Amino acid sequence: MNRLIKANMKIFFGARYEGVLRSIVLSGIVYLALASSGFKVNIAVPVLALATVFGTATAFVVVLQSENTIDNIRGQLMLPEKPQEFHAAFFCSLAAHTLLTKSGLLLFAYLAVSEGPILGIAVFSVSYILSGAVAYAIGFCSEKQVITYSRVTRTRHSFILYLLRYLFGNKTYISNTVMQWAFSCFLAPIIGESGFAAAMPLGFALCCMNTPLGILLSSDKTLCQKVHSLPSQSSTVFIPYAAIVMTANLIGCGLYLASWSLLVGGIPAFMHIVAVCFSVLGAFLTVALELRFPLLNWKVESDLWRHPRKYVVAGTLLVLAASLSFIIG
Amino acid sequence: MLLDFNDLNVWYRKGSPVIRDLSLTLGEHEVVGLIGLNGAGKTTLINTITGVHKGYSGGVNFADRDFKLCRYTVFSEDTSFQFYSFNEYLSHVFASYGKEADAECVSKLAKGFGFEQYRTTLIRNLSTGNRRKAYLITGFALGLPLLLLDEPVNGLDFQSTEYLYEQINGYCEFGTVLFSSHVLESICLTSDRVLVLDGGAISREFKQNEIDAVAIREVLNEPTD
Repeated sequence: MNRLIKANMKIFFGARYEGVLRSIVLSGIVYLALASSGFKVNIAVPVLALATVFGTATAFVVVLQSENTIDNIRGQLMLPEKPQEFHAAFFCSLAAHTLLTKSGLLLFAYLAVSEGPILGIAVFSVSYILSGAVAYAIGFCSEKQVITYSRVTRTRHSFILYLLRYLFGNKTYISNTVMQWAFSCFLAPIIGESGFAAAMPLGFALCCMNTPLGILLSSDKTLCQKVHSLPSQSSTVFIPYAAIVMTANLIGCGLYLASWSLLVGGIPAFMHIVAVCFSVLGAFLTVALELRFPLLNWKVESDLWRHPRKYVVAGTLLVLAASLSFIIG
Repeated sequence: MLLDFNDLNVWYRKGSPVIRDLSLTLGEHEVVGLIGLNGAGKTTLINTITGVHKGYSGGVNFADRDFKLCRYTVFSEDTSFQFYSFNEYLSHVFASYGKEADAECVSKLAKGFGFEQYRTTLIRNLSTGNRRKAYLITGFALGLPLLLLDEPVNGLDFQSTEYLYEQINGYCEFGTVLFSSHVLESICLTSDRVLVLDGGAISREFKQNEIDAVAIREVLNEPTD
């Protein structure tokens, strides 16, 4: 059992478990930053439970459905291990990885800002273990739905079509994008009801924060290598890729504007142009960063989903939006 | 002269070069075989010349666009563009090089490699061998001055391997082939020059008539320093 846990922990955290320390330091920084700000809020226990269940289950499913993980454990599944020992070890390693790199951040943030954390810790623990166990059982038992095209008759290339096939073959990206769009709808009343209409650009920045779409090359290392080996990728890869991200951004901003119009009220005409500018800028910065600085030093694909580099564009857009709000406000 | 560099050092961790002070000259229209034991640096050298490995020094810029336009690489492990069919992949690569594919030439290569019926199948749904054929056909169809092949024989069946040797030998018409292999036969049957890579350096070079399986085997069996 110890042998299996060690082997799997190395998959998730590196040969010397260096990822453990890195994750603890990051969580500590998040905790100290929030705690020292003095910001306190009363977070309802059901909200914490829901966030924990959602975050944990998503993290488990992303890891279990990743082709990288499937490749990693194929060798273990070939060996005559006792199934219960293998599953116990693999579950423990995956749970530790999810706790330290994903759900733990949520707990630390909660502990830093909440006023009565004891009940929250208990709720977090129960939600974490239950959602993890259920997601593991479902994720491990369900076969990955591999998209198949019996024959592709077209002979001309289209990288847009390529990326769409990739996204439909890895549905986590699609579900994340749909959730981002749903979030855009809820964002308008939240910002609108603050009574500070000039803050509208902040919503555009948040609507363009579809970070998983910004790692489509990093998540496929051989594709990334080939793209960098071929000449003229600005026209064959950069523009189609940026077009996909820009379309997703535009849909998010469009839903945000529609929601604002329905639930809050009138929208100044120039805000439509601002929305388009944020969508275009967000897309081009995201793709430029991905092509210039791809993230290839990852052990588990889900690490990519929380990589700090992905938030550079979001941060830039937020600063831009805040400046714009300040100017027009 | 197609490519000439001296004192190439390549590393994954700075201070620990895996290729040391390597000098290489590639003439036009020749086939150069790289052979060596596992870990000798064959793949690293090919990836470096391709421009996808960044940790190197030697005064050459392998990522230069003009150089990129002159070469194509078939990687040893490649699952790229797996959501394209072969036909779409071919179109994408030719567009990258600003070239139009010669349909007749592609058909001939596909037939030779026994790949005709897989041209419309997604690359991800192909077997390892057929996937390798897709990238090889693209490389030969491009006909660029330099074709880099990393372990091209891996995964190929007997007939395709024979056809590959034929294509490598015939490539001199278009340009130069630099290919790595640990299969002695593939090197001996195709190369004008053979470079033995050992510990990140070229330990021996065999030319034309000197290329002999027994002699190369002896060099490979020599204890390393």
